[in-house]
Amino acid sequence: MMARPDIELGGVVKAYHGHRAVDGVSFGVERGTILSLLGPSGCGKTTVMRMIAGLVRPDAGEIAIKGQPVTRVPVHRRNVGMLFQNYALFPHLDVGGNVAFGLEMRGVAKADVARKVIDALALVKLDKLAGRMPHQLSGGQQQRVALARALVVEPSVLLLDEPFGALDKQLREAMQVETRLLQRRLGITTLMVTHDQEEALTLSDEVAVMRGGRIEQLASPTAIYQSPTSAFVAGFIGTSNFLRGRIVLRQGDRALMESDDGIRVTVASAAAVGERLTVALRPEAIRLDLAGTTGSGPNRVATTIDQVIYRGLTTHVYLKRAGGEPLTAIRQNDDGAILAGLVPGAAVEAWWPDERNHVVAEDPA
Amino acid sequence: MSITDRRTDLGSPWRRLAGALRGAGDGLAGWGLVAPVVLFFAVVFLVPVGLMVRWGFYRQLDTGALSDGFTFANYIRLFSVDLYRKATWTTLEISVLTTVVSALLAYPLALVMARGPALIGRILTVVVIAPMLINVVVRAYAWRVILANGDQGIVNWLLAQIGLGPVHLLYTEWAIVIGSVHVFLSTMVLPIAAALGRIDPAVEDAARTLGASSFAVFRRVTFPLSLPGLAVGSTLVFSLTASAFVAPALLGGNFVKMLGPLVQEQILSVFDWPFGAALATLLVVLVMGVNLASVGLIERRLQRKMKGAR
Repeated sequence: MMARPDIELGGVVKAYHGHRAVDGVSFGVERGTILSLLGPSGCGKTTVMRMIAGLVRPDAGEIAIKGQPVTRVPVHRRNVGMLFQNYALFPHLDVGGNVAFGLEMRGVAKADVARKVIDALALVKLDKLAGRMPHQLSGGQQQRVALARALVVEPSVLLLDEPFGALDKQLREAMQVETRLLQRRLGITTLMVTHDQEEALTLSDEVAVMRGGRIEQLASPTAIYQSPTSAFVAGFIGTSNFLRGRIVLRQGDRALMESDDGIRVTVASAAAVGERLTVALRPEAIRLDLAGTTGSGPNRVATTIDQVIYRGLTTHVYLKRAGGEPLTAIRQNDDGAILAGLVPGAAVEAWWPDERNHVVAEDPA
Repeated sequence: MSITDRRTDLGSPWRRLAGALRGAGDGLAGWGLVAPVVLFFAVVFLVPVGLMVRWGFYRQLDTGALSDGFTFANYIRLFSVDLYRKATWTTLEISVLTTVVSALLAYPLALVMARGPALIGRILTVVVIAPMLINVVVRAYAWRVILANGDQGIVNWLLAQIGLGPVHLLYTEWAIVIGSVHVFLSTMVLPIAAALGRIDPAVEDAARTLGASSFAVFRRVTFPLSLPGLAVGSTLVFSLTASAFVAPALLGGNFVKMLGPLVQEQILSVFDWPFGAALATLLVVLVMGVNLASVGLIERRLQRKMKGAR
């Protein structure tokens, strides 16, 4: 039998001024794993985290940490470690004082406090800086102090609120890797809130995409990227081309869909002939052939190049279909031979493997 | 960043002035900006204070004429006569009491003003400032009516209704403290509310997640971070209370003597300007001394915190 998840939410609701910021959220975070709540600002992800921490009281639903119901337990008795967006270090205490704070609140003996503080700072490689004040530290160092401060009390769970948002790109990636290693080493169950999809995919065992106070999809990073279940997730995680149309032919468990502008694609779907579908298609799935080498059949379309944008690792090719609808292709920059002919105005044939056609649920109108 | 702002808030006024001058363009432009104020203060503050200090070292002869030269006679009298020693002590005592009572009343108010709904905050601001809009003499007489002894005062009448009292209030130190708190509370509340408003709420949230109860959050985080506001407020309330003379005269009468009314008596009734000047000089030195000491205390506290870094 599987152990109960370390963090469990059941039907959690929170409304502000009649607007449901969190509208019935249920999920669990398994022991020792990282789950990310990912979504645009205002989707309710931060409120969910603050309710787990106890900083916000839910209107309905239950929250349990390590199997203990905590819905009515005040924040200071929940034993959660939380990392805040701007670190929220105590500006009047030095690094050692910041890390010692939680231990002092728990009435740990003085000698033990000193030892644990040094250990925690060593964990984040800052043991030399115990006497510094927060404003004398760089952003990355402040982040580590905040992490040491949260971990030193041996919290039941770790909550990370947009933890890397204030760091520049290089440092952010370094801290992400470091945090992930630390989390694995300590085996601490972690919930992270982020609006950065790359961060969520990099760090998480599971990603929950939130929208309008609800969880739209909860799955592993691979599954959420490869098999988004809704048009929203397909568009929010990475980018997607959307083809909307009708089933025109069925054959076994596969069907042929014709989009409204005449592109024929094959999909794995049980939908009946005549039914409307939306297909998401990742830009990197699309291959480009210069016109003239045309094949025939489904999953290909004749287009004109609108714009070519070189992005270093990749080149984004913005295409126009016959009816003017856009189609975006992303090619990695090692197939130089083909890229040479890609200039605005050129006619190209776009095609893709049929397994990349992905049926998604359309947003309720 | 807000953390650095808070630190410079506590910096000495001189260092801040120097910083401002540097920032305002090299030298000349900076001086040009502060020149009008410097000039104004030189004429209406430094010169008169200088004259006052000098007058304290003259002596009034029995003929009413002033002695020439330089004498410590006034100061010897000041420190040898019991009345003046006692008045000095009373002035300190009442000013400190007023400061402490104001601070105790100010914190809850300031918390509501800084954290509560904006509308409530605005209403409270108007309420605490309101006493300042009333003429000081009118205000003092109003307090006389409220605090009057025997069965005349409103407080004592109310106490009598519920079978308590009477209490002796008017012409006590407490009457002066009450009257002073009433008018100077705003100068304590507003800086504290401003300091509280600058505290990042996430810092308090962090303390709570680390296991601090509401009281512990206030004691270990909110209060220490509001100290710059408390320092400004305390300086203002202490200085204003110590140097007041209308409220002490009307509420303390002849029973509680503070330095303010004594100066007024010497200048306007006794016409002994040199001795009045000596009393006034003592008052200025006293107020300045306490203020410098308290600023120094906070500076040292900060320096201690910075030490590890260098």
